[in-house]
Amino acid sequence: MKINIKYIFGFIFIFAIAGCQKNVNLVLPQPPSQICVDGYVQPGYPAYLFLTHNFAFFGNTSANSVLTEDIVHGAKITVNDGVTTDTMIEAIPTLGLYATPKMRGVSGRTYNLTVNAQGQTLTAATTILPAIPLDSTWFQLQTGNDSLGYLWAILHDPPALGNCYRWLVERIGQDTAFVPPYQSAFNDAFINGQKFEFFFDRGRFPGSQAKDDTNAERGYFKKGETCIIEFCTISTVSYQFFNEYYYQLSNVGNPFGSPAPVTGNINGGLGIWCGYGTSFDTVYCK
Amino acid sequence: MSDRIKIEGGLRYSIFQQIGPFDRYNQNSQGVNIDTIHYKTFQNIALYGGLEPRISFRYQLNGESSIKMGYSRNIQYIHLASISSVSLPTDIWFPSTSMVQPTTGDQYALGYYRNFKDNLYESSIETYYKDMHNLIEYKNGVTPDQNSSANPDENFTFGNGQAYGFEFFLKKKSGRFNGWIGYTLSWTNETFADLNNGQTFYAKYDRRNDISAVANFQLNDRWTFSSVFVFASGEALTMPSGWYIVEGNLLQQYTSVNGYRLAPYDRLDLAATYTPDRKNRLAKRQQRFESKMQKKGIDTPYVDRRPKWEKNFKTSWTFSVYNAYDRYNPYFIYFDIHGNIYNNSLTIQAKQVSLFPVLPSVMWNFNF
Repeated sequence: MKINIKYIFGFIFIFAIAGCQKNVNLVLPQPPSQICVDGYVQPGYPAYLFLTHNFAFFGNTSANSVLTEDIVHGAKITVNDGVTTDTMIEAIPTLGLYATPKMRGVSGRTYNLTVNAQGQTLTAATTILPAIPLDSTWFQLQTGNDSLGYLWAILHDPPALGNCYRWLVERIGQDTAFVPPYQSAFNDAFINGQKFEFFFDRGRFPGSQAKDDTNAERGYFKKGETCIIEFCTISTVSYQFFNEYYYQLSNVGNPFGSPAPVTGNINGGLGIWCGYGTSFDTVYCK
Repeated sequence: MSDRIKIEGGLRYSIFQQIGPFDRYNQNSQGVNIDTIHYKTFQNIALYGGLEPRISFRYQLNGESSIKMGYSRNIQYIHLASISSVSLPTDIWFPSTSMVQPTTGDQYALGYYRNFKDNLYESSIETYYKDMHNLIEYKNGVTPDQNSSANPDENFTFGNGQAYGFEFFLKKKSGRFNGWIGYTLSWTNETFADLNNGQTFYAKYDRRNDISAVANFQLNDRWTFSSVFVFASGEALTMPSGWYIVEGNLLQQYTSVNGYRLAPYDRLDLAATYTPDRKNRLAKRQQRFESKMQKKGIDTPYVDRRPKWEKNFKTSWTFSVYNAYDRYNPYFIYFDIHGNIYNNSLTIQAKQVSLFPVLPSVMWNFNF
């Protein structure tokens, strides 16, 4: 009988590690109280913003406690686009969602955000960059599958370097909002000026327990679905935020990973204020 | 120079060169590659060199005590870069490049040395200060895959550091009971413009207290006992301290750089060594031989006819216990995170991994 020595060493290593592991109760330093902005603005729509504040690492661990304790109400939020200034209202107070009642996003404009809440002042600025539409989009079955597949597209990246993109999809009649898949933001470092095909799987809402998010259909689009692709140009700062954002999400709990702080563009706070230069495509999955 | 004064000095010149083939990708402020410089084989990319002087001075106060001072400058052309807070064999040793300057260290030391009781005891008190330049650390949030579109040295940021402290040492050199104890009180700080908002932080290897003690006791000719005890302040590392929510996902906040301290490291090792009494065995052998010959009425002296290797064969047994009180020293800590906040199932449990619990061992030593 042949015994691969690497398996023996592997077994010994795992045994040694597993045998010397125990639960510990740590007393971690409390983070300073900070407000988190999760906001965006896109052409033709109000600017939206979720406002919450941070909580301790061993603190709130349920949606109920977050919704009751960590949403920031009564904030004074103004958005200036260089032409007018609008003050946000709490559109859905239970979710901490604010929106501009009058202002709508306009491509090419820079949106300056000021948030005053809980004695803190936060500022940020973002620009809606010109949209770069996809050349074509289609649904393609996954090899060996007769009903499930991914959404494909062709993008012709402009010659200038530094373009950054984000991809979101809403299935009509099924999703309540556009959903970004994992690693939905990318830049043109490798594909500058190229015309190329690419695809994305289907994203899901965090914590979704929907049937097709928990069974074998997870990550796939299905024949018969109608999808709207929202393809966005975003700033480099926003791209870096989402790149670090996804890296941290994939790295949580990894003992060998480095600390992965996410650098946002909110002065005096946490989070991201992102301008989306949007283009839309509708794909019927057939 | 004289019986009382002794000065020693040295001078070294070191050179380090980075040569091609190599591609240097130049990036704009947004991190996008805008140009590539190709270096041919053996083409010079960076050349470093420097003098590394060292000098030590000893002043003999009397027959039992002296004062020593020293200065040395060291230049290091390779750098240890740890992307993880865990010390692993996978840590990267990174050479100096056109972007990574050599690390330099200037160390100053001053000590008072004194022996007691006819040199039976040695003792010393030392203080040191080390100034370090061009230290390297990974930038915030560097991901391993970022090496693919840029030169790996783009992932580093550079800063300076200081290390200083006091060392106390006491040794009993001989006798049935002998050993030594050393205690170090030290600080190691680093300052990087790009890390921790430019504020000084403790280095990963900062150890506030460090104690080492060794004791040996010879019970008789056959049995010797020894023990080693070590204690060190816990390693400094960066830990998550909070959460915030973006797009429905929980993101972690972190402490200041190396703002958390692991539990201290301490360990006791014990050993007992048994050495068989060879002289006694030889005497017994001789006695048996002579008794046998006497019974036979032969009067002949005992002659040791064993081969030389056997005559010189010495053996001993060592019974030891590593980590005698089974202390689970922290090697690293990770968080076991399950569930999510949306169905109220989020659980976070900190788990500590330790290496080497109590390890008894038996060792047979021989030489010939």
